[in-house]
Amino acid sequence: MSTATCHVVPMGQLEVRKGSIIFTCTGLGSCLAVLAYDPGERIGGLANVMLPESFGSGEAPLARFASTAVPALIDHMTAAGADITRIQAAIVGGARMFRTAEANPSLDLGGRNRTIALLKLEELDVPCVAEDTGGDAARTVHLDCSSGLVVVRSTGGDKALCKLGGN
Amino acid sequence: MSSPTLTLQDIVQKTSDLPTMPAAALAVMREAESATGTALTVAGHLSQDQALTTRVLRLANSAYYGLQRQVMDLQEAVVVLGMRSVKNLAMVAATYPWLSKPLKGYALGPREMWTHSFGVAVGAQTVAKKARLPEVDAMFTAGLVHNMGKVALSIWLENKIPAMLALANRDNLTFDQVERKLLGYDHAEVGAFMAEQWNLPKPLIQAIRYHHEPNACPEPNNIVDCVHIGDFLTMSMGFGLGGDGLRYDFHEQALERIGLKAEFLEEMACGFVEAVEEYEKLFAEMNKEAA
Repeated sequence: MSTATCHVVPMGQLEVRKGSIIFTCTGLGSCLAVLAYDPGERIGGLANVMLPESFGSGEAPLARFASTAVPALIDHMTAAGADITRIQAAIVGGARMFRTAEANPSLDLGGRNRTIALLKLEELDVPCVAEDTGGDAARTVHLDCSSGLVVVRSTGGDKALCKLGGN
Repeated sequence: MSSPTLTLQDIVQKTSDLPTMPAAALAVMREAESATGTALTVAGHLSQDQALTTRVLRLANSAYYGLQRQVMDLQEAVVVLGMRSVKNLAMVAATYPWLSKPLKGYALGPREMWTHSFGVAVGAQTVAKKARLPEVDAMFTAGLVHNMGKVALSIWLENKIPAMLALANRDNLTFDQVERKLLGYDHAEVGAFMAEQWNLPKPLIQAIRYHHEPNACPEPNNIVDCVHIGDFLTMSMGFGLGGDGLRYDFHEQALERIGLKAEFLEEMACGFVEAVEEYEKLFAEMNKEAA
């Protein structure tokens, strides 16, 4: 990972930048980090998604829900100059309380975040090339926008999950 | 891993950095819960502790409350903010010094246990409001102190997390079950033991004792159920997660007992996060103090 500036993307928000910056999401529980990268333009984006789908009529931030965050993330990237045909994505997080999914799937917020995010990526024809999701461990993830490198930190230490755009 | 060698009493007697609750804060808590508590009596108890009073006034004057002019004394704070808010501020001021310390035994950095505990305080209140329960105020204090057993146990668990997680995975156990297997008791029992020594109200002691096992509470207690659900929301949203992560069971019956459904969790999660974000201005004041 390069020595570029780290920028924390708070829960329910998304960021898109070009080049020398590292996006970070800390302490992911059931929230899901959707990371996307265009290696041609070196444009990276990260959405820190809280919940699967919006509900009610209130005006909530787009990045709060997987159903609206994924299209918004890709829109922001193409508006910044990314070519959608080159964008690759990865997802990290989506943990759940121990044994809850077996008891009642509606308690598995993390699993449902994952399902909706993958569905939306598929609708946009953006390949999800790697994921580190599920389980009950907290995660922190970094996306290096100069290289597309995705590093995940969890109880087992740091691991390089993938290099987006690296074939 | 070693077998249990320390009793609950040993933990309380031998832990050098045990959480403490100022006598004035305990008195304020009891006074605010009692039928005879008034703004004046609450202010009277609080004023017995100058350090606590100073912190409460700083918080009362933080951007969070957006008061038009500075509040100069406790009586005025109680009049302007109300007895309940001042009681909650007293709890925040009393617990922050020990909740904000790093807890190596649970792989929590500085202020992470505070972030989690404050989250559960706000989460339990969010749940209580959704269920239209009367004890909204008591939820706050219960949320703040629910994990105080971890503060006491942390030093005894340093460097043990990897082995504890390995045991949890091998035997399909929750983290509190692993604590019990290793020590003979878990952080909820340690916290409840300390709360008894502090002579906290019984519903509060039960909330600490049963926050991971609400179905085991021997009598109906809304505070237990709301803290359990608030803990679920806080862990799910990732506030102050440690090495034990989300490795705890969620008991859906807690929702049913207070008349809520699992389908409400997402709406409550949204309301909860918005409430925590509102409190950021208060956090800023606390963090200034710690800096």
